[in-house]
This record gives sequence, structure tokens and C-alpha cells, in this order.
Amino acid sequence: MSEPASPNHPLRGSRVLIVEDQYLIADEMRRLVVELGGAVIGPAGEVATILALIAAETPDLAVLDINLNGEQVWAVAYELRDRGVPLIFATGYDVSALRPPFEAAVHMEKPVSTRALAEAVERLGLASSREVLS
Amino acid sequence: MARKPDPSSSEPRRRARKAASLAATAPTLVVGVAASAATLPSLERLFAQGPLPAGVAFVISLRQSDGLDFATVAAALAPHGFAAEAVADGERAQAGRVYVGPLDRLMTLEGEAFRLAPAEQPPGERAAIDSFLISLAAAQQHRAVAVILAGMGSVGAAGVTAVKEQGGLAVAELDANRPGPEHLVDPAFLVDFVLPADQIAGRIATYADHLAGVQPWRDAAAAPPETAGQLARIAGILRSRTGHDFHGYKHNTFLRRVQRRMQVLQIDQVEAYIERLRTAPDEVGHLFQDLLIGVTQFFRDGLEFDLLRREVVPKLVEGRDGGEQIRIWVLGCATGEEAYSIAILMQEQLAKLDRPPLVQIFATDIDGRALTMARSGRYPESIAKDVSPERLARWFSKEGATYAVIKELREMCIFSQHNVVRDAPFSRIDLVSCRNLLIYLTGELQDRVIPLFHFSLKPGGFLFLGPSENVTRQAKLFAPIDRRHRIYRRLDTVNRVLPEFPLATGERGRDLAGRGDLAKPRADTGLGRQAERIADRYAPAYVLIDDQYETLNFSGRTGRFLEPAAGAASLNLLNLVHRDLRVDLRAALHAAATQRTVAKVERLQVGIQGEVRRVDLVVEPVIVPDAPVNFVVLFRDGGPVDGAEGEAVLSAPALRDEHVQRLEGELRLVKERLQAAIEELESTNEELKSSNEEYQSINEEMQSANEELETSKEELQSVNEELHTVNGELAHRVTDLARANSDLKNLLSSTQIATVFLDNDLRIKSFTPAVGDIFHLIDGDLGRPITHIAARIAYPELADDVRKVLRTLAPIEREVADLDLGTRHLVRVLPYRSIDNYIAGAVITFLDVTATVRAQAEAEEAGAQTREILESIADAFYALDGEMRFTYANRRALEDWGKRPEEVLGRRLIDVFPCADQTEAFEAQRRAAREGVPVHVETLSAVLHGWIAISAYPDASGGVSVYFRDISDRKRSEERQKLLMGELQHRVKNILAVVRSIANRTLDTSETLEEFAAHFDGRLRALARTQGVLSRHAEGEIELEEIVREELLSHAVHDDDQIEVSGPPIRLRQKAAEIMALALHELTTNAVKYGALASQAGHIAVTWRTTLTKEGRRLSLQWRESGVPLVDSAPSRTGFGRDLIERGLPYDLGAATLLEFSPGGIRCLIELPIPEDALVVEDADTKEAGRAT
Repeated sequence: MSEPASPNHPLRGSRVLIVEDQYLIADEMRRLVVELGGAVIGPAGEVATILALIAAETPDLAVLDINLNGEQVWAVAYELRDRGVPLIFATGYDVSALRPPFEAAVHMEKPVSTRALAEAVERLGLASSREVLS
Repeated sequence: MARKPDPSSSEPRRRARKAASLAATAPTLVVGVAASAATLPSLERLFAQGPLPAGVAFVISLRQSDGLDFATVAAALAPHGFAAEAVADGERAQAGRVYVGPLDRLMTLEGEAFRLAPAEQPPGERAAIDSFLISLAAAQQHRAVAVILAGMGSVGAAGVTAVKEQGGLAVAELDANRPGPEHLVDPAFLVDFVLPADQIAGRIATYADHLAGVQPWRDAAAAPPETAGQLARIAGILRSRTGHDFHGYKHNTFLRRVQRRMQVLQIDQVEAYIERLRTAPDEVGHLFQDLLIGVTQFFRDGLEFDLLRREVVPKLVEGRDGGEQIRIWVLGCATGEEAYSIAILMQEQLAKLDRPPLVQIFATDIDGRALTMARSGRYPESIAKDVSPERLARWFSKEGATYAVIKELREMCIFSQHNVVRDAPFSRIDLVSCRNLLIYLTGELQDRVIPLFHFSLKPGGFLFLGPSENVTRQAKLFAPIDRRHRIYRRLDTVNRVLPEFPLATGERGRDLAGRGDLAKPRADTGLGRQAERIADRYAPAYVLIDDQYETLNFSGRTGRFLEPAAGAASLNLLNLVHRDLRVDLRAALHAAATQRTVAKVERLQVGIQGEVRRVDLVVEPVIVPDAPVNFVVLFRDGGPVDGAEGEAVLSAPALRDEHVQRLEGELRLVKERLQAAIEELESTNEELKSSNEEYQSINEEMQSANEELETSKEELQSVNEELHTVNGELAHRVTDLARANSDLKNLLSSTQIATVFLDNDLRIKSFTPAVGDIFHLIDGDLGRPITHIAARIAYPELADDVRKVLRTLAPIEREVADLDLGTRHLVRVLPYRSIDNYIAGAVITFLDVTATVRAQAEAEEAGAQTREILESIADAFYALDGEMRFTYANRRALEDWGKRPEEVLGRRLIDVFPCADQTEAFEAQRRAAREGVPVHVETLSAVLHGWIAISAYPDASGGVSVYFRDISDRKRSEERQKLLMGELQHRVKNILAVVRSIANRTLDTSETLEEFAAHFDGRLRALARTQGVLSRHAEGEIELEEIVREELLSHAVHDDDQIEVSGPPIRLRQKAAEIMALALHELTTNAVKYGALASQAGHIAVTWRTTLTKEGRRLSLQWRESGVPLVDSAPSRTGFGRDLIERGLPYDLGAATLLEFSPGGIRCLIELPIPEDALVVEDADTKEAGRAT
């Protein structure tokens, strides 16, 4: 089911890092980002790979799964925060899975719809990404 | 001798002094007021007279034995503008203040500073007032004033004496109810003034004024030179008025005493005082009394007393038996010290005897007021220097700052007022002590007094004189046993010495009327009587006779006419009359009797004393109506007859010569007899005289005895008073006792404890009604032995028990069970101790404990059951008392704690488990105990280091019962549950995300809705199958073969000819299983549609193996189709399956894949790393669930 393209592609011109260890879900996320006009970095499911991607190119936004094949995403999250990258956590866990200092970060529950991603991006846009992450 | 106040300057000076004394705080006078509860109104009147005299400090000393306290005094004085102050230790008395002494301590004055000392004696035996007044006298001397309010009894006597001795002033309140002077213990008889209370303050003011103007001399040397002469004149007045000679009195003392009197009377000059002495007889008495104060002391002149003790006292006692009496007379005893000294010596001697005789000491003094002090028997502390500590301890009781002689001593002495100069002496005395009295007597008086002592003393009695006195004037009467020490022994004299009574020279004293007549016959010098006597000489002789001629009366000088006849004595006139007259008299009497007229016979010649005289006879009847006639016979002497006549007369009787001879013979005889009679009479007379003397002496003794009796009467009155008091007290006690008795009776009847009182012989003394249940007892059984009474309970050991208790005095307690009745009694046998603590029997009490014992047994049983239950339950249980102490802990609790019972029971929870303090569990228990509500909490236990559920229930006694259970396991599983739920949710959401992705991809590759439906349904089913299998395996792992077969079977492919599935058992985790299943689904779908399964000729081989490489174990799976007749070109619309195999598997599983469309069918190779434990081996324990994302 393809969603109608959002009239104002909120992610146009943004390079969005997708962190997800499951292929089908990562692919779906990629579709959503593209749908919202964004360019995709990744997707990647291993911490080492992701860190290498970030080192090569700092994304404008990152959508993060938390559990990566039994590995936690926090090392990535810290790295991204340090680089000032806004974060969206997309996970099957509820919001309580966010641990400090990320408990106030934007959180989406899977499965993620286009609208949910658009709203999350909008929330990031409303609040300064710096503030959210500081 | 007084410093004459200069009239021009004295007044301003006095005023100036007054002002100065007002400004300075030190008082010029300190007034000690003795007060008690009874004198409160007097106290108010005393202070009701406005402001205090200037410069005077008042100190109210309270009698400590009654209720008057500071507050009451202060309240009483406040309305009169006085602020009473409680005395503080060390405080200095200040002028213009009113101080009140304490009730609980002993107040004295040192200089101007108060001293408060703890009282050693109970109230009433402290002599607080006397102690204070004595210290006041010593501290302030002439500036001390003692005020004794009425109604204080003998309190203050010693104090007043001390004040006066030191030159101070003593005032007593006038009391209308004061008893007469025979009650001589009242200090009011010692004081200088007795005034109504409202005049006392004024008198003190006057005294203070006077004192301010006159500076007393303390020493005769300081006095002006003319003083010596003036004092001598005063002594002269005293000698003439009192018979006491004070010329030898110590000069300084004499001077001080005179000066004190002058101060009291506010006389400035000695001359004025001498004038006062002359005009006011009372003042002589006052001065005399003052002079007698304080000249005596205990054991004065120790050597003499020592001699008395060694030589005299043993002789006095020697040979006396218990029934006898030793009488001692102490003259001039003054304030009694000497009398008590002798009493002490006597008592000390008597103490050595088994049956001591009775000793009576008559202590007399001329001045009754000094006796007041003697009778009170209270002396200042200063006597300690005269009396040895042993004697002080033995014969005195210390009361405050005074010593009081003990009753034993006091009762030996009888004090009475007696003037040796005037009053009759005491008699039958063994020892006369007259020390320092004679020196005050003139020589003349001494000469009279010493024989008095001789009279008083028994033969061999002793006389004890003062050091400067002797009896050399009367050496016949007394012989010295020790001249140096003036002890003499009475000598027996041949002539009984009769003392001359009275000896008085003064105007005072008792009137012993009549005694004077004995000593000096009265001279009869009246002229009238002389004239009468002369007239008698010239009057005729006459005789009065009755009708029988018996003589009734003779006049004088009838002898000439009478000549009693020989023979029996007769008063018949005819026998008595001269024989020459007899005949004519008879005739004349006859005539007068018959004619009742006067009969006369004249000129009778009668021979009288050798001459013949003419005698006329007249007989006249004396007629009294209704009475016999009496006659008066007159003899009238007519003078001698002349010769012739006489001859004639003489010749006439000659006829009867013979008769005369005979009569003369008779007459001689009669004369002889008469002579004998006269002699006899004279001797009788002598005897009578001597008897008279005896009677006189006896009379004196009676007088003495009477005096003694009077003294005794006083004593008896005071004893009677005491008895009244004691009686009242006893009556009160009897009432108390009766009430206590009644209480006891009621208690005994009301008590349900059966009690029997036995005496030492086991006889019943009394019992309580409840005993009826134990013994068949009735009131009539009192006095019967308990062993005779049938007991209703089986207690055969009763008698033995009682005897054992009586023997050992240790109580016995035993429980007596009667099996027949089913009763149990607790029997106690105790010794019965009487109030004087000797064993007067035994007390047996029976307490019915049947119900108690039963209840106790039941309670024990219930308790045991409960405990059993508590021990068996799975929960830990313990109980705490009100102070959080363990009273019980069940086995489970002890096990949980790892403690032994003795480590916790009886100890406080917080002591056993200090770590529990302030934990939630501990607070819960406290809250339950405090608020009385059950409290349940689940908390982390600091004791057990795990989760516990704890329930605390308050119990009735303020403690708590606590259950707790270790819930760590449950808590852990709950945690896991929660975790699993989260995981499940996560998985579901992931799968939904996967489904969404599949749906979108399927939608992308489907051309029609039907096609989409078919593909999507197939993929969803594959996913569902995997989930189904996964849910069947708790570990979340699936065997590879199962995935393969499930996928093939789902397409109804079960032809084993067409399919070959082989490989070692491999387990795949959820994530790998899901994507592998999807990939196999795509392969199978493709095979069914286009490949090996599209025709019967096709064949599929699914094989796998594992290999160990240097990166770890890897799985190699091969899907190989064969026998496919027409191998189409690579399927164009199977993009999803291919994408999944070629990109999905590498992305998700790190797999290497190969998909070939070779002739004969598709070949697919999948190689992926697997964990070592994925290879299923025997007993492989792979519990760890794989974590899928």
C-alpha cells in the first residue's frame, strides 16, 4: 500500500540515517523517508557499520532502533548527539525503553506509518533539536 | 553615780542619736518575741500600735510544735503595716524590721547575725524559743528584750532568765486567765513587766529611749567614785528589809544588777533609785530577786561536791532499804542547779543499789520566781562547762540550744518557796545543803538559823555549807568532817535545842501568829486589873454551894474559914468549913433554905492561926426559877477579938481538947497527903511541859509536812494535767483502735480467702466466714484444736504443716487437691507474729484455685496448640511485647534469620537487628502497635536482604503479632513477567512492522488485487506458521528441518519421492527462523508455480550441513530443484523472493547467498554463521533465549 506523497516533503534535502537490524523493516523505513523527500544513509544494523557511516558523513536526522541484534544502540546515540544530530527512536518497546539522557527524545512505536514519521519530524522541527538533545 | 544628763544638751543629743540609729541599720535593741498559734491575737495586738520604736528589730520566734508558720504571721502583721521577713542564715538583724523564725531549723543570734542550724530534735523538743532567747541575751546583753506572750506555758523561762542575767529587759503579756502564783512555771513571774499586749511596744520604746541616753557601766571601776558608798547604802536597805546582807556580794555583779533595775525603771541616778527603794517596798523585792539570779551553777566548787560524793552520799545511802526515805533540804536553791547537782550525785549512788531508797530533795528559795526556772529544769548550753559530758548525756536531754533535766531527776526535787528566816524548818532531814546563803545573813540571823538546821537534821545528819561559811559560833551543835570543805555532822546534844520561831525581822512572810506567845509571856500590866486585884483583897470571902451544900465555887482567900475534915475528900461545905463555924452555919443554912431569906449569924468567935477572930456569916439563897436553890455563903472577917473575949472563946473549946487532938492528927495526915499530891502535881506539870515541847516540835513537823504536801499538791496538779492529756490521747487512740478493729473485722468477713488463726497449741483463735467451705466451723469452736475439726477437703498434713511452721518460722505453701470434689486449694501456713514480734501461733489461708487451675490448664493447652500451629505454618511468625521485645518466634522465623531462640527471645527487636531501624518493615510494626490497626506492607527487608510481605497485628497488651514471608522469588518472576511482556509486545510490533513491509512490497509487485491477495496471504501464512512454531517452543528457537518441512507441507507437498530434506539438527533463533521461513516460502511458492513441484517429474532436495571455519561455525543450506522440464528465464515478478534471498538474508543474518536458474531447476545456496550452540547435540542446554529485533 503506497501512501500518497506528502504535499510538502518535510525531509526534502535531509540526509536521514536509518539504524535498523531487520531488513524488511529497514527497507520499509527507507521507503517512508524517501516518500517524505529525504535521502537515506544506511540503513545499517550493526553498531560498527553505523559508526563508520556517521564518521563518513554526518546525517541531518537519525531514526534509530534500540536493539540491534542484541546490541544496544546507545553508543550510536551518544555519537550522534555529540554531533548535534536530531534523533527519532523507532522501536517495538514502549517509551520506557528510552534511557537517560534520551528519555525525552522523540519516540515512535513500530510499525511506523508515513504520518507518524512526518509528525515526529514535525515535532523535531517545532522544538529545537539542540534543546531536545542537550 | 549616773552620768547626769545635761538638761541643756541631752534632748538634742538624744534626738541626734535616734536619727543616727535610724540611718544605720544595726538595731539598738533586739526584741525576741515568743509566739505560738495560741498567741496570734496577742501578736496582732502587739503590732497594732503603729510603727516600731525607732532602732528596734523584732524577731518573732515560733513554737515549732504547733501550726503557726511564717505565712500566717506575715498575714496577721500585714494589715498593721509590717512586712514580716523570714530569717535567712547569716542575715544581719536590722533596725525597723520584723523577722520571723523558721519552723524547721534552730535560730540563734550571733552578734547581729542570725544563724540557722538544722534541728537535731523533733519539733516540741527543740526548745526553739528558749534557745533563741538565750543566744539573744548573750549576743545583745542589755540590748536584748524578751517578750513572752500569754498562753505559752513554761516556754521562755530559761530564756527570760538569761536575758535578765545579761542585763536585758523581760516583758510578759498580762493574761486574765493566767493561773495564780502557785503555778510557778510561767515565765511571766520572772519578767520585769506584765502588761497588756497593746502596751508592750510602748514600754519597749521607753526602754530604748532610756537606753540611748544612758551608757551602762560594765565595771565598777568605770563608775564614779561615789558609787561605792551608794551601793553600800543599797545593801544596807536590803539588809534591813530582807535580812539578807549583800555587802559581800561581788561588786561588779551588784552594780550591774542595780543598774539593770534602774534601766527598767528609767531612773538615771543612783540617788533617785535609793529613794525609790525606800519608798517602794516592791522594788526591794525586785532588786533582791535580781541579785539572786545567776549566782549558782552546776557542781559549783567541784572539790566540795567531790567530797560530798565520796564521804557523805555513801553514808546517807548506807543501810537504807527500798522502803526508806532519804530527805535532803537544799536552801537557797535559786534556779535549781545545786539541787539537781545533788540529785545527780544521789542518783549515781543509788544506781549501785538493788533496792534503792526513795530520795526526796526539798529545794527551797526565798524567791518563788527563781523557782520558776528551777521547776522548768531547762538550762542554757553553757552548763556544758560545769557538767561532764557523761553526766550531760545521762541526766539531760538536749533540746535545741538548751539542756533539760530528765524527768527522773526532776521528779526527785520538790521546789517550794520558803524563807529560812521566817518559815518553819523542814524536819527529819538527812542532809541540809545551805551554800552561800549564810554569807548574806547577819551574824544575829546566822545564830538563829544554825540551830534550826540542828533541829531539822536527824541525828548524824550532814550540813553542807558554802566555802566561806562555817558554824564555829555553834560548835556544840555541829562537828566538821572536813573543815576545809565545810561539811559538818550534827552532834547530839544533851539539851534538846529548840529553835526560836519565828525569826522574822522583816515585814514580809507568812504570819505565824501565836508562836510569839510561847517565847515571851505577855506582861499583864493593865491598871484595871490591878485595881480589881486590890478590890478582891478587900472583898469578903464567899463560897457558892448547891442545895446539898456541895461547893460550886470558892472565892479568893476563903482559906481562913475553911478547915477540911479528916477522911474522904469532900466538897460538902459542912465538912470543909472551920469547925468553930460549923454549927452556926448549919443553922443558918437551914434557916435560909426554909425561909428563902437571908440568914445572918454575926460575931462568931473563930480560932484562926492562933488568934480568935470575929466572923460574921451571911447565907443568901440564889433563887433561879425551875432550878434547885443555890446559896452564897459569905464570911466577913470582923477582926481579932480582944483578950477577955478571946479567953472566953479559948476556954470554951477546951472542953473538947481531946476531940481537937484527934482532929489535929487527922489534919497532919491530910497535910502529908496534900504535900504528896502537890509534888505529884508538880512532876505531872513538868511532864506536861515536856510534852508541850514535843507537841510544838511535832507541830513544826506538821507545818513542814504541810508545806511538803502543798508542794506535792502542785506536783500532783501538774501530774494530773499530764494525765488528763495522756487520757485524752489514749481515748483518741482507743477510738482509732476500735475503728481499725472494725475495719479488720469487715475485711476478714468480706475477704473470700478462708483464713484460720491458730495459737501455739493449734487451737482456733479466730477465722473468717469463708472457712465454712473448708472446715465445719462454728463460733463455738473457738478455742478448740483445729485437729478436732473435720475438714471438708483432704488435707491430712495440716497439723504437721502448722507445727513445722511454728518450729521453723518459714511459711509453707502447698496446693491441696481433693480428687473426690475436684477442688484445688492453695494453702499457705504462716507464723502469726504479734505486734511485739513474738510468735503467737499460725495463720492458715485457703485460696480456692479450682477454677484458676482449670483455666490455667486450658490456657496452657490452647497455648500449646497455637504454638504448634504457629510452628507448622509456612509463614514466619513472631510476637513482640509493648516494648518491642521478642516474646515468641516460630521456627520458620528463626530459620529465616539464622538465629537460635535464646538469641532473640526477651531481647528488643532493635537490639537483635540493629539494621532494621527506620526500615519500612520496622515502622510498620511500630505503627501497628501505636495505632492499634493491622498494617501490611511489602518491602525490601534489611534483615533478609530480599523482598518480604509483612503483616503486623496489634494485640491487646500493646504488643504486635507479626507474620512475614520471603517473596523474593515471586518478585523475581513478576519482574521477568514484565520483561517478557515487554519482549512480547516488542516482537508483536516488530512483526507488524514486518507485515506492513511485506504488504507494501507485495503491493508493489502485484498487478491485480487477486494476485496481491494470493501472494500476501501466502507470505502472511508463512510468517504465521513460524510464529506458531515459535510459540510452541518456549526457547524461541526452531529446528531448521521443521521450518523446511512446514513450508513444504503448507503447499500440500508430502510426496517424499519428490522431496528430500536432510541435514543435521540445527536450531534457529526467532529472527533467523522468520526470515529463513519467508525465504523458503518464496522458494516453495516458486517451485509450486514454475519449478520442480509444478509437475510430477520434479524433485527438490533441501540439504544443509555445518562447517567450522576460522570465523566460527557456519551453516550451508542448498535448495536444489531437478527434473524441471522447462526452465524458464529468471522469473520477473518474483522480485520479493529474490530480494529477500539476495539482500535480506545477508542484511539480517550476515549470510552469503547464491540463486541460480540453471537447467533442470533452481539452485539456491545459503550460507550463514550460526552460534556454536545452534547445532543440536545431546543434552545441549540452550536455555538462553535468542534476542530478536
